[in-house]
Amino acid sequence: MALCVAVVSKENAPKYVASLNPEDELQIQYEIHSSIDFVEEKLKTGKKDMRELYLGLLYSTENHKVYGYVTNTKVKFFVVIDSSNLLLRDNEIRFMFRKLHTAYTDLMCNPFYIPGDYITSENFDKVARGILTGNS
Amino acid sequence: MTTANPIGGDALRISDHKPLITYAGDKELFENLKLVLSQSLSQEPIEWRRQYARPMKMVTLSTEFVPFNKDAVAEQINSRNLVGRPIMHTFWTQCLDMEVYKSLLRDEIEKWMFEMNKHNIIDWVIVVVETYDLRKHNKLLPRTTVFDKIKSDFAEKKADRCLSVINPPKSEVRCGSSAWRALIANVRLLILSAFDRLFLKYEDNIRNYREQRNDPSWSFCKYFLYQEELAFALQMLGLHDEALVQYDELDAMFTQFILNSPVGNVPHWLTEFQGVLERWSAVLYMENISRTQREAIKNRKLSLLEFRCYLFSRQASLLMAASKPWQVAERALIFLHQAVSDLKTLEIDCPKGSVACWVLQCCAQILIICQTVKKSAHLEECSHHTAPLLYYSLKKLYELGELCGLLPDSVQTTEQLHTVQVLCSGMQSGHDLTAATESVATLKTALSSSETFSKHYLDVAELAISTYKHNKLMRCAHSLVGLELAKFYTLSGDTTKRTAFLVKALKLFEQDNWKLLIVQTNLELVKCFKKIGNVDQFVKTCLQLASSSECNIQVRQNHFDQMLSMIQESNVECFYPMDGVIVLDQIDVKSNDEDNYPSIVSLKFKSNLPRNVVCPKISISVVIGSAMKKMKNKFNLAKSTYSYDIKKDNVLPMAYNHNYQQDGHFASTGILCLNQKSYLKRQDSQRRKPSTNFNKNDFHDIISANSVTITPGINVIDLTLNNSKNMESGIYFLDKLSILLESRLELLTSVPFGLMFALKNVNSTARLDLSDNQCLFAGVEEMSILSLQFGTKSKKIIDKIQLHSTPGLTFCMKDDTEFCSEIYVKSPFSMSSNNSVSLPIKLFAQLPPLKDNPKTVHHKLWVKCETSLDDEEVICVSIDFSLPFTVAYRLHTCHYRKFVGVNITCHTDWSLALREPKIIGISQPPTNVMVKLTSLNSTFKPLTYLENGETIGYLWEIDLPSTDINTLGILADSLKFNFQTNYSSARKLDCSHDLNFEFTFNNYKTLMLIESGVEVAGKSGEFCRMNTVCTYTANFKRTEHPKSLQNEISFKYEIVVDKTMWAVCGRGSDVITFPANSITQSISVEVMPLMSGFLPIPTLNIFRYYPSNSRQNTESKMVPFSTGQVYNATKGVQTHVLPRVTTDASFI
Repeated sequence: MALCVAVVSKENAPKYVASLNPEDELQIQYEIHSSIDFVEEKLKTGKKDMRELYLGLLYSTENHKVYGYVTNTKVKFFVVIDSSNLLLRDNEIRFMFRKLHTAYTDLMCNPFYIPGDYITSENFDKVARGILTGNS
Repeated sequence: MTTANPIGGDALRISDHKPLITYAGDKELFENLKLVLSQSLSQEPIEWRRQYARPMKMVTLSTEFVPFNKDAVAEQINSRNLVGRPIMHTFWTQCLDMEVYKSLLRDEIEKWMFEMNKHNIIDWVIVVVETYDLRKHNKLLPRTTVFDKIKSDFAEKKADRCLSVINPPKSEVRCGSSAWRALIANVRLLILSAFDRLFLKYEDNIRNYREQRNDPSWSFCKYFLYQEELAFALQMLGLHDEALVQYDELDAMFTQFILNSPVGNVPHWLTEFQGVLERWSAVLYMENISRTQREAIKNRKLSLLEFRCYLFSRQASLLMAASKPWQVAERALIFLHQAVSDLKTLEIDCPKGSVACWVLQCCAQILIICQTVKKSAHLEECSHHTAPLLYYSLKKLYELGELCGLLPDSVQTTEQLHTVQVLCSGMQSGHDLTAATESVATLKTALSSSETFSKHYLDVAELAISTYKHNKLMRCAHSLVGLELAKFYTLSGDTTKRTAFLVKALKLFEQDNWKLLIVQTNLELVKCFKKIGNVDQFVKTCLQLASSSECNIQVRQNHFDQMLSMIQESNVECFYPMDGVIVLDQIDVKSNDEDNYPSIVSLKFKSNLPRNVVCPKISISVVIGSAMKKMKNKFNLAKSTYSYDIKKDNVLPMAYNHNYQQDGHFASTGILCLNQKSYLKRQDSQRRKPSTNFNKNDFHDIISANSVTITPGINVIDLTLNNSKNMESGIYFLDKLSILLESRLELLTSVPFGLMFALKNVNSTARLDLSDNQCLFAGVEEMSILSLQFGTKSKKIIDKIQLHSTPGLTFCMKDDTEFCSEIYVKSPFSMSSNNSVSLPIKLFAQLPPLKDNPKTVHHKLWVKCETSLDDEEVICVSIDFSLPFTVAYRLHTCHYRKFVGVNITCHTDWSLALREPKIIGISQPPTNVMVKLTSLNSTFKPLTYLENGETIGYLWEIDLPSTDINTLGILADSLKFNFQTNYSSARKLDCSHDLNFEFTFNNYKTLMLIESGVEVAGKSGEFCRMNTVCTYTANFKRTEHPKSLQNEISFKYEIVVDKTMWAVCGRGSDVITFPANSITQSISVEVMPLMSGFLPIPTLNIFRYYPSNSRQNTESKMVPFSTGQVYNATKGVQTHVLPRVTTDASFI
């Protein structure tokens, strides 16, 4: 169960943002935007394993934890969870990202989707909402 | 370094502790060996292979030897401490004498072993030190030694626990002997195995205790102290990471307990942590362990925060000992968040601000720790983790400031003053340690007054922002810290600084295109710009807000209205990129078919403005192709279009692709993307380009529309091209689009490259209007209409027109009758809608001399248009006149008689009327006699009509005085004739013109007569036969001119035959000479007809021949005769040739 799921393009522009609580969205967006810094830092220092797309915890505050994941094409996924939610282990987060990545890949395979457009796919939204609510 | 350190007896210094080893037996001997032994043990690390496949560790043993004390041992064995407990017991002896052993030593060892067995100690070693007397060395070895005896008596089953060694100090040569090395190795191994056994046993105890955690009397604190012992012991062995693992396990366990507390029953021990928070001082790093604190843990006197601090301080000190200081910083943030979260989970009642104070102290201390790091690489690593800590403390500081009324805009109330006091006292109380006071002092100072608070806040912010920047985390620096600072400056009223931070953050958001954040920042910025009176930026930001879909409509309208009123109040001119305000959708250049320049440019765009706007002007600037070429190197006309759909880019141009086999059968089909390369190019790689600034000066040649209402959403607007008159002709590209929203607010954008139109600049032209295939004829009056088409650059008002022409062409206006070569036509002119003037005009071109048989006559007419402004424009019209008829003349000869023939051929498409012709002949000097001519024409009608292509011929005989050769000389050799007639168009007989045609005949007199014929040669018959040789004879007769008779004259002849008819067998050409007084000559040449039938006889070409004369040095030459000088009497005669005689015929 996550608070927010976001897809950020290669150019760091948001392509999809879904939050559990709309009132948190602005604050979370600030946090995700700042987290891009950490993604870039991690990408710059170079990963040891190119197959490892999961970047782990990028940023945390008293309330939120931002986790990152970056595809080989440098599309970034972010999942924000509640800091107090310690039930979510690393593995669960990885699983969320894997699902998100699969949905994103499906989206890219759709010939009617133009890469770079804001994501409005219902399927993708369904998957993202599933991650937010925790019933997927 | 100002870390808190317990002092005196309170301090538990693990580093002071070493694994303890007791010694018994020959103490004097051991005292001597002790130093060497302990040095040897710690000389090199040893592998510690642990059970349960735990990772192997290298351990360097540094040990401490204490004399065996049976009371102390009993106490230590029973205690739970791992540190300060002897790990091994040794017994030393150097007795070599069996007797002594039996009498004394055995008892001693037995007593010692009794103690061992009593406490169940198995980690013991008996060492027999053999000191050899070198002098006695050659003495025979005893059968059994004391060592063997001890072995058999005490260590029957544990042979490795009985060791023998040669005393090294006494035999220094053998110091490094194998026996000594074996001893050391053995002792090391035994120590480690002792530890291993101890740890396993201890771990078992811990596990057992942990299993009882559901027991109500169970306490985590107790458990904590248990496991901590293990950590101590590991630390004592120098295994910092292993020790850290113990603490991490404890940490995780504690956290888990707290997490479980809301769902299950809260264990009793945990409730003790739930008391009201009374102290919030923080000590995060201690080199030594405070016994008091451990005691407090034991007695459950520590608060949650204190306990957490203790735990963290232990972790920190282990990390520092392992020289991983950055991990301290890294863990600190997690630790702080966890602690704060724990407080919430356990619902611990904390005084307001206390947690913030605690966090601030913690952060400050971590920073202090990081500052002490020496290695630059470590320092760099630390800075990555200190920045978030700084940001965290900044937020907490703000929280405190708000609580205590210390923020710049507020005044402290008494209540808030009291809060400050409470908070300060909470930081002081608690520990009796000389606490790390620097952080507390700083915080207290910060809380003391509004000014100091501001200073401290800004210091922290500055440090945070610069640390983030140092780590190149710009988003964090400007968006996180920057916005916090902007918030702070809002309160302090420093709008300039606030704006600066907001603008920096905005730039980042714009660069990454985070719309929601842009809007949010803009909403703040608008207030700033209004405050500092930056109209330009205010208007720009308002515009952005008004057109951003992320805002609700009220906010957008509100800002739009604010913007409009601001523009009206101020007099600043504003230019902005169109970007998100107006989004271009489609541009169509609709070009007029005739003129090729666009009458209309249709513009489709989406307005994101919240209200209707009446724009004073919408315009597009254009750039001529040549200028564009300079501007852009890539100039691809193929790409240029007349229409551009901005969205169309996404639609691929597809085409069917059918494949056929070689035999023409259909093989496969598919679809193909044309021009796929340009579409397969990655487009998302290009970053969004920031809009460039434009100058208003660019707008020279414009396509525009005035007073246009733009409604929110899609608009379609037609623009028209203005003043194309003043533009050069060429290809124009649409360049920039400007939308004037208000009189002083202009939006600009670039039109996508490649949109163009051609502007053909039409020059003024003039022409004569002629109906289809009509041509003008010279020599007659012609009616036409002079059409003047004024060009795109001409003035529309013309005062007068001057016409003038080349010589030979005269003209007049329709109503006039007088033809002249220059006239003025005065205004007014009836100028038609397409700028043209028609002038009916009459033209007359003189007939040119007809001798050269000209086909046409060229004339030019200049039209000069004059305006009142001394401006004139000259247009030239070329006019071609055809001739209405052609005249031909000819001299005819018959023997000596001469005839003059004149033919007139009509070329007009109307009938030509000719009057009776006259001819006058004059013999040229020296005689100048009128030649008498006899008309051979039938009687003339008064008018002869000729249609197009018809010819009329006239014939006169020259009346030579006589045919007598003597009189031939009367008339001169040159005769001049003048043929005169009168012609007119059949339609306008009254308007007739004279035709005078002069011509001359030279050397017309007949000089020679020729008669020729073909005869049968031999006796083959009367008729010529095919393929039979015949004789061609020609007789030449000179005119019997008395003068010429006296001369010898030569001629050259050539026989001309059709080679399909005749074959010339003899000489085809020759020179004949008329000797003096000889009149006739003849030749005969053999010829053979090649076909049968009536064949024209061969003809002759005659030339006058002048033979070469060596005296006069002239070469021979041939000169042709003039017309009429040679008369061929047999011209056109045919001869009958019979077919060949067949053999059959001859047979008959």
